[in-house]
Amino acid sequence: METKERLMLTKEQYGTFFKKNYHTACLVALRYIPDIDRAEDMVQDVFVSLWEKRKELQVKINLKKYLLSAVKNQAINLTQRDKANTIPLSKLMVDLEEDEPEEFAKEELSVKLAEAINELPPACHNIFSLAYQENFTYQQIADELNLSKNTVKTQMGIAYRQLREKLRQSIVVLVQMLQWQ
Amino acid sequence: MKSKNENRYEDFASFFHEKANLQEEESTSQEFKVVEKIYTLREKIVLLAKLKTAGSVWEKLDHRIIENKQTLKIRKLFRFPYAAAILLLLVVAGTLGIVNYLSPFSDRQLSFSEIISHTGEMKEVELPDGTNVWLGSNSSLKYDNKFGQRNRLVNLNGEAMFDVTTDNKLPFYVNMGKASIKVHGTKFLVTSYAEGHNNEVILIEGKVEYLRQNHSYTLAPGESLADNLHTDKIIKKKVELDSYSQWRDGKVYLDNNNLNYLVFLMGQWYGKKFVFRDTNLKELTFTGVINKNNSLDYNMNIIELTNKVKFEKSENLITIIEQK
Repeated sequence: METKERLMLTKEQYGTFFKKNYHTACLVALRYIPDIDRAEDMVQDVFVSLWEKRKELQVKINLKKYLLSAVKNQAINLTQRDKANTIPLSKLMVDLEEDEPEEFAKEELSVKLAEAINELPPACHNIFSLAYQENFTYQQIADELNLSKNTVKTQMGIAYRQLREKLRQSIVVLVQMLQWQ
Repeated sequence: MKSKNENRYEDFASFFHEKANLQEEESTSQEFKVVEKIYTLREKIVLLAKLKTAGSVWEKLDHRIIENKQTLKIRKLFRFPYAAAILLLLVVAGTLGIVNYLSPFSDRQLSFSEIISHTGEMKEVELPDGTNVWLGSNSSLKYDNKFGQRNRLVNLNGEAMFDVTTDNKLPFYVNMGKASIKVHGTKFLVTSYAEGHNNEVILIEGKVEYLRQNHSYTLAPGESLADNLHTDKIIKKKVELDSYSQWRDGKVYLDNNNLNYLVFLMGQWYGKKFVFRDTNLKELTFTGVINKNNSLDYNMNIIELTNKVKFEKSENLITIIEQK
């Protein structure tokens, strides 16, 4: 028999949960909603409604997965229906069984990757951001930062190697973070 | 000497970023797959950079996440002295026109400065790198505490004229709705109100690049660029520079701008709301100079004189109707 223990969450715990998962949830919403502000507002609404529903949730659920599924469903609702007749958040149905296990892996990895990019050494970070985020060619970066093209090339190699190592570590961290399971 | 391992990552990076060749057996390696994965996540990383920090959003949500009524009362009592202190701080900071705030939840302790100009106000600011900014009405300019050292990046909502100091190491970027401007030591004017759905850049001196969706448009002095964020239509043209140099004195140069945009700007300057009774009037275009230091009535008179438009004023709402 399943035990029907209820999930006990303090506001502080929920804050930690929020800060760890807000960006991941936004990325899931942005799959369906192109507007950043709208996507962020929607995710915030889901977080609030999830908090209000916390006493109905059972301990055994994976809160993170539940959240991301709710965000996904609500985003699909918003895009499919007219703004005028969206389903109220309280009626959100989340069917955990149907979703694939790795559904949000890309979004989760992206958040980890963004953190790893921020941790690159300053010089390396500047070069990498210009190439990776701004689509600069090596020559453009070299001109921009007064460096040789070869330095850019070397730093790019260092960046990718370091990112790979960081991401490998983060898999261990990820396991530790699943405290809500 | 570099290790073989480091060289491999260089080759992978060159393969993706420079379209360089790669030996075939390398492309099946585990390391290559990881680099490929990182490379394919670019779009998401760019999106992430545009999101608000989780800490600042959590603070904003504070009043919506309520534990239960009893604890709320206690919390309110506790918070009272804090609230008073914050209010005082804001009032003091507000008179200086600069609001500094720190996000206590942010891991990296990034703090932002924001300069805000209100309706009908213009502000002149010198940024930490010596760049001069004249901020137009109802506009805000935001930058972080690394500005001038690690980056020269500002976020603009509204209208501003920049006189940017030259720094070859740190390019100056202006981020706005869906686009950014890269600056190479220069003087230029930007209009980009979030609700305006229209970006406008006018270059007075030097060189800037307008960056939008992987495209870059270089502007020469005396050129303007208008980007309609609804239709994605970007138009570049020559303009008369004198008029823009006078922008600081409150003169705004209109170059085939439609009435919808013009009343939007006037709404920003005078804090009034405009509505169209005849929506076909929205597309009427205007060319000429309008001075925002003049009164609203004066400017509405000018518009009424030159075109087929009439304004009907009530307390807080101005209705635009067709003049017959």
